[in-house]
Parts: sequence; C-alpha cells; structure tokens
Amino acid sequence: MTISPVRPSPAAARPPDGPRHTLLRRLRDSVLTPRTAIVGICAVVVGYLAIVPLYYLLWGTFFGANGFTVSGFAEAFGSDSLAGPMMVNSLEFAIGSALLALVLGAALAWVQVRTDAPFKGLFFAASLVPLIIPALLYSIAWIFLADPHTGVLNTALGGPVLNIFSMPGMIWVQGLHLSPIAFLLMVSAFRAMDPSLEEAALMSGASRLKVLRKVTAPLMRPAIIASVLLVFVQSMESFEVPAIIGLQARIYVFTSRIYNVLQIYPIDYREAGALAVVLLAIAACAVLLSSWLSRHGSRYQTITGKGFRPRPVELGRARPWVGAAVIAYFVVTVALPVAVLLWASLLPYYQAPSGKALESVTLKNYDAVLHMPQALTSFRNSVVLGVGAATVVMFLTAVVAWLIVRTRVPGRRGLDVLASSPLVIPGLVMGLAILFVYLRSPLPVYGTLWILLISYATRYLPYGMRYAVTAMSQVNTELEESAMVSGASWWQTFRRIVAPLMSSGILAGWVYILVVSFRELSSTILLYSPGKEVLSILLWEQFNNGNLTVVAAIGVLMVVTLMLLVGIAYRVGLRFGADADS
Amino acid sequence: MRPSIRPVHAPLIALAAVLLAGCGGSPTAAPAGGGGAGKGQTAQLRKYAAMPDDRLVAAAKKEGTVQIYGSDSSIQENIAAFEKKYGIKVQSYRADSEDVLQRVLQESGAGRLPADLVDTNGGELLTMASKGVLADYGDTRVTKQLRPGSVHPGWVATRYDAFVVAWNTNKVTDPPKSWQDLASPRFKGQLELEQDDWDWYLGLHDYLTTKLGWTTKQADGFFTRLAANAKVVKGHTVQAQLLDSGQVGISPESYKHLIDQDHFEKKAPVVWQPPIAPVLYRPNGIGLTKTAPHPAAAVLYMKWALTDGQKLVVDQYRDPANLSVKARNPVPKGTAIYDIPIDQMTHDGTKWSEAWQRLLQNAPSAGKN
Repeated sequence: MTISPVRPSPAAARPPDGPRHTLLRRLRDSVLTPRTAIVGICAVVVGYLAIVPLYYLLWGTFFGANGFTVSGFAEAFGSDSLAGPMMVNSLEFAIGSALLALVLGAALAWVQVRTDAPFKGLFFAASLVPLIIPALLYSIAWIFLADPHTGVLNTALGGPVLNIFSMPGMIWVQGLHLSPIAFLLMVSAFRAMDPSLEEAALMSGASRLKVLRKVTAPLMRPAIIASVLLVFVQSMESFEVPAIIGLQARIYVFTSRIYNVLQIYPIDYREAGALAVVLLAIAACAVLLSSWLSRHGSRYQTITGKGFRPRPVELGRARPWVGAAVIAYFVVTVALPVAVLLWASLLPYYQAPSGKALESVTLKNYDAVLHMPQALTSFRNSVVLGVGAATVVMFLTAVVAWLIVRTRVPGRRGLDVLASSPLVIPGLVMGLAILFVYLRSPLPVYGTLWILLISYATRYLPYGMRYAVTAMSQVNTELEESAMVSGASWWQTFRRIVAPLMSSGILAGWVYILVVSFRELSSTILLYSPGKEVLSILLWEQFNNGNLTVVAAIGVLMVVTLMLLVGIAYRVGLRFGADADS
Repeated sequence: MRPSIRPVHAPLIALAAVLLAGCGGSPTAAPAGGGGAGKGQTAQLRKYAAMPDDRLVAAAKKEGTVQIYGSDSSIQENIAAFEKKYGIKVQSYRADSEDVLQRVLQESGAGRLPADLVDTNGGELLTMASKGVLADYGDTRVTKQLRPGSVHPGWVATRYDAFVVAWNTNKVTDPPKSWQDLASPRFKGQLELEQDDWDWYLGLHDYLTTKLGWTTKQADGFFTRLAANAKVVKGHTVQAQLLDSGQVGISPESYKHLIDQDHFEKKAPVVWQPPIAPVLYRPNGIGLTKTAPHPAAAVLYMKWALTDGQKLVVDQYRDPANLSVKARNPVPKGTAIYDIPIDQMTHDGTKWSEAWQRLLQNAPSAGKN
C-alpha cells in the first residue's frame, strides 16, 4: 500500500494546537477523543460488514477438503471454459456501458445544474425511473421495443432498423439503465463546483471546449472516476441484460458464466468464487487507481469559504435544441419503458399494441396485486428497509469518507478497497455468508428484518462510499479549520459544517440506495423469514408464476411510490442545505 | 455437493461473536427446530402418520401452526385452502429451489431449522434426503393412490412438471409432427430453448438412446440441428411470454401447465396438442423434516397435500401424483410419458449442464435470421 503525498490535511494531520507531529505522537494525542471514537466505530462497522462476505467468498474459493486449492480457477478459466472470448465481451460490455452512462449522465447533469435549459422538471423522473424499474423488466421492455422482427419501434420505422440483440443493443440498455448513477453523482459534483473558475478561464480567452477540457473536466475528476468505476463494475457484475438480451444474441459475458455456475446443480462454489475473485481484483485495482488519480486532493476542493451562486449558462440559440435533447432522453429512458410497462400491466398477457389487444385491456392485474395476502406488509417492510439501509450506509460512509480523504491514517486505502468489495460479491454468496454468521450469532437478528438491513447495508456500502468520498473531496479543509479554530468540537464541525456541505452528494447516495434496495432479490430471498416478506419477493413470486403482466403492475406501483418517497426526501434535503436547481 | 458448513469457518464465527458480544442479546432468538430432537421426532411423525384422521386433526389443531419451505410459487393458494379447511396457521418461506436447499442445509447445520415441511423440486429433495434432513412418509392408505414411483426415501412426489412441445398457432400453421421434423430446416429461427433446461436435455437424450435405440451420435446430431433452429431464452416465464406474444413460434420444452394456463385462462394463441411423444415428467414433492417442531400439523399437511390438495394442483393445470384426481388437460392416452432420471440429475448434473451450455453456444444469434 502506498501512501501518496497528499497535502497534509490540517484537520487531521495537525491538531489545532500547533506544528506537525510524528505519526505516533498524533495517534497518542488523538486516542480517546470523541473524534477517534466515532470515526473508529464507523470504520470498524464498515470493515466488519464488508469482511463477513469477503471472508466467506475467499475461504470458499481457496480452501477445500484438502486445504488450499486453486482448482476453482482451473475450472473457471481452463481451456474448456470459453473464458477468453467471455472476458473480451465482458470488458467491451462494461466499458461501453460505463462510457455511455458517463457521457449521458454528465451531459445531463451539466444541463440540469448549469444551464437555463427548458423542461428541467423532467430530470427528476429521468434520474430515478430507470433505477426503479428492475433491470429484468427494463430489458424485456426494450425487447418489446426493438426486437428486429416484432419490435414496436421497428414496426414504426418500417423495417428492421434497430436490433436489440447485439453488443451495441446490450450496451444501450445497460448504459441507459445505469446512467442515473452517473447523473446523480455528477449533479452533486456540479452543484458543489464554483463556476467562477470556469468564468475566469473564459474571461482569459479560453474557448468553451478548452474550458471543458482544462477546467471543468479536471475539477469533476473524482465524480467522473467514481461514476465510471461504479457503472463499470456493476456492468461486469449484473446479469439481467446479459441473460435477457445477451443470451439471445449469443453474447456470453463473465456474469452469464457466474450465473450459469450458480444454476448448475450441485453448485460449484469454488468455481463461482474464482470468477468473483477475479472481478474483485479488477474492482480493487479500479478503486486504487481512482484514489491514485484523485491523489492531489486539494485540487478538487471547490467548496470554499467563499460563497458562490452559479449563474446559469445562457444557451441562447442552442436552447431549443438542448430542450429537444432533454425531451428525447426523457422519452427514451422513461416514457417508452414506462409506457411498455403500463401497457403490459393492463393486459392478461403481453401483446404488441393493436386494436385487438386494446379490447382485452383490464385492471385485473392491479386488483390481483391489491388482493395479495402480503402486499401491504411487504410494501411497509420495503419502505422501512430502504429508508433504513440508505440512512445507515450514508451515515457510516460519510464518516469513513472523512477518514479516507482527510487523514493519513495507515490502512485507509485498504478500508476503501474493503468497503468496495461487496460490489462484486454475488448476492447469493453474500446471502450465504450472512446466513451463516447470524444463524450462529447470539444477537437476536435471525428471522427478523434486521438481518435484511445488515444485508442491504453491506450490499450498498460501495455505492455509499463512492458518493461520500466524491462529495468529501470537494469540500475544502479551510471551512473545517475555521470551525475548529472558533472552538467547535470535531463532532460539531462534522455535523454542522462538513455534513451539510456534503449534503448534495449524501442525498444523491441516499436516494440511490433507497431506490435500488426495493428490488434487491438475490440475498433477500435467502434471508427473509415468513411474515417478513418484501416487495421484491412478491415480484419474484409473480414472475415465477408466469404472471409477467402482474409483475408489470407491481413495477408501475413501485415507480409511483418511490417517486413520492424521493420527492419528500428532496424536500427535506432542501431544508438541510442541499441545493436544487429546478 | 460441497457442504456449505464446515468447522473451519470458526474464525468467521469468532469474528462475529467478538464484534457482536458487546452489543448484548439473548442466546436463543428465533424459534428453533432444535438439533438433537431428530430421533424422537421421527417416531412422533410415524405415530401421527398411523393415526386415524379425527385424532390427527385434533392433535394438529392443538399445535395450531405449521411452517413450510417451498419453491412452488403457487404455494400461497395451497396454504389458503389448508388454513380454511383446518383453521391451522401456515407460515411459509418461498424461494427458488436452490435457495430453499441452501437455507435448509444451513439452518439444519446450525441446529435451527424451523420448517416442518419442504415442498420443492425432486432433485433438491433428493439432496436434502441424502443429508439426512428428511423423514420417511409411508402411510399406505395415502401412497397407494399415487402414481407408481412417487414415494422416495424422505419425500413423496405431489405433482409432475410436464415438458411439452408448444407453439403459437398464429405463427405456426403447420405444426411439427416429430422431433426430427422439429430439427429440420423448415423451422429455422422459429424455436426457443431455455438456458437452464439441461435436465430436459438429459431426459430426452436418455429417452432417444435407451427407448428409441438411437446411437449417441444420432442423438447428438439431432440436438445440434435442433439448437441450430433456436434462440436461447432465460426462464420459463419469459419463454412462455415470448411464445404468447408471437416473438417466437415454437418452444420445444415448455411447461405444459404454463401453456395451458395461458391458453385457457388468458386466451393466448398457444397449444401443445397433438403432442410430440414423449412428454417428459419431472417430479416436485414434499418432505417432512426430521426435526419438525409441529409433527402432527406437518403430517396432516402432508396427507392433505397428497389427497384433497391435489385438486389445487389440477386447478393450476399441473399433473397430479394422485391418480384418483384427473388432470384438467391431461396427456392423451397412448402418448408416452417419460420420467427424467433425477438420480442422474444429481450425480451427473455438471456434465449435462455443461454439455447443454456448449450446445447452446452454437445456436444462432437472435435477430440474424
């Protein structure tokens, strides 16, 4: 582990009383302060949450009945495993999706925060709906839209113009589906960025492109890196698009492989583990790379003591065009898939829109949902868990982000990598690990909602980390120093100064976790207990029953509920200092 | 199968204990099945199985509740019917068969299995039985009514998933007449095969070679041609949906009950008759756990599932194990039914699933034909 030459961060490196101390001295001074206690406890909790599944994964991968083994790797990457082309496909898919998501997310975030573009209200839906719709339904919706033979869009275009069953098709669906991750991250970063730097560059005669390249992009680097990292790793790891679209296109990726291994009976956990360990290594490199790229921390600190009020860029003649682009994005990511979902939810079985199909429109599916015995409990449990997990994760990661960005405590990079590891651990493996521990733990967690909360907190830790670290890198240390100098305790400073300044990023992370936790299934299904069902279990049940149209109805209800919840969250966030632009 | 629970996990447990001990909490939290109760409980189960109905029902009502783990997604309807009839509360955990298996093995390994019954696929039940989790059920008053071969050590088949060749009547006007026909070029690009249906592949391959006397080479050639006609899809629900909406013409290994449900209930243009023989059967069943905390209610549920509960099986268009109950749209007399050899599934699963994957890798890509 290298400790890169970070500019000594005054708050941590130098106690308010004076000159630089040696590491030992600092440690001794800082032990037993509330700061150490809070940061320490959060770091331990984060470490603990991440270690449980990681240990289980590594142990299961490397240790067999006869001790240490690497046989899983031989099976996973041996000559018979088709691993080579699969890796190439995976990388192509993940990089393509990450770039598409980044370009879309960044462009839209810029338009949203920094311009006077019209229709900004649409962004609220555009930033959420793709997250809410389960990837499975999102993929199916796109098949119905762009199947080369029967797709609605191709029918409208008069021929097989679009082919969803291709690598570009897969990247398109995945990139669109994940673009909100990038959007949410970039919006909070743009909000935290003082535009006077760009204005200064413009005044000095730089062209718009040059400003973008030399000023904006470098300032946004932490957010760009975090977005690419999250979308890249998630694309390497997610299996819905590869399974629903990739299989039909005969394009096999890494996760179709993990998924296959987990489907084959009996499950070869060592082989699945070997595949996951390789993903883990890739993700760890990515995390280390991102912290290395962000090593000159102070360069990104744009939240300073100086107040700034971004003046929106006047788009002028470009305004109608940008407006049209906003509408196009909204139509493609939100309106079309939701329309397909809504249409499907009103039919007994899916049919392409036609006069005949219109005759069979019915509300039966909604009736079925409302009459499910556990609909209400599941709904409540999902809300409780979503809000709980989002709050716990963002609190923990905000504190740990301070530790990682602000201090030079040895091992902080390791903690960052560790906290990112749940990103690549297959949900089933994570479920098994948590099941294993809490079946034997003296804590009364097993058989309650708590075990699901622990599972969700673990699962979404990496997302919280990226949102929190990105937000923290933008807050200049001088504000903390001022507070400390004025006599505020560390906790007061953190609560009153740091957290509000990070609030935009924290809120974005909170929203993301709330929304995605509603559809978590792979570990939930192992861990829930009778009477503790959540919405994703109901979705799974209906899907398995062959009631795709009922699933669509639940999907529509989820979209409505989460939009309401997030709307409330933004309202509350406004009070605590998060900016809003629309 | 690699056991998922080993003593070497001690560091993980220790870690959990150390980190959590400070937080307090009682040593036993959830109601547990109890580890050492196995032997006595098996005798209890036998005793209740031999009891006359009225006494069994009284004993079950006294227990008041029963817990069931199942992968059958329509289990809710069964539970509602059972609760209505006996006034005994049923708690259920539903998950994919693999998750149910993992959960049962993990919980019984920790001595905390709260389930009285497990209702899932034959293959998983076979594994649970081999791990000694399940108790035999041999009430001949009930089992003599069942299709031969339905009673296994530790579990009893309650219904059979039937694999049929189904097609969309709007898309396919001249339906396939035989397996060879299905693999002929006239159906190029019209078929869909399901990603994980290697057990069907195993069953049909076995039938073609052992019953019809094909050579392995002939069978392999047939499957290669079949795959060349097909797209690959994920999941039987998606498969049925694509067939209903006419995105594909023919599914050679559809679940018969899904096709019948869509045909009769939703009026989708999909049929499987006249059938191509054989129709492949794969059992689903139910087993009593040796540690059942509610043995009387568990035995009562078991008995009910194999008798009165069979009407619900039929209502879902599934094929019941109890021969005195008539299937709604049964396989016509004279059409061969072949049981997928589930012992091979558990022993040679890896071999067959990998062969199936290789076969599908060579199938053409959707959108290119």
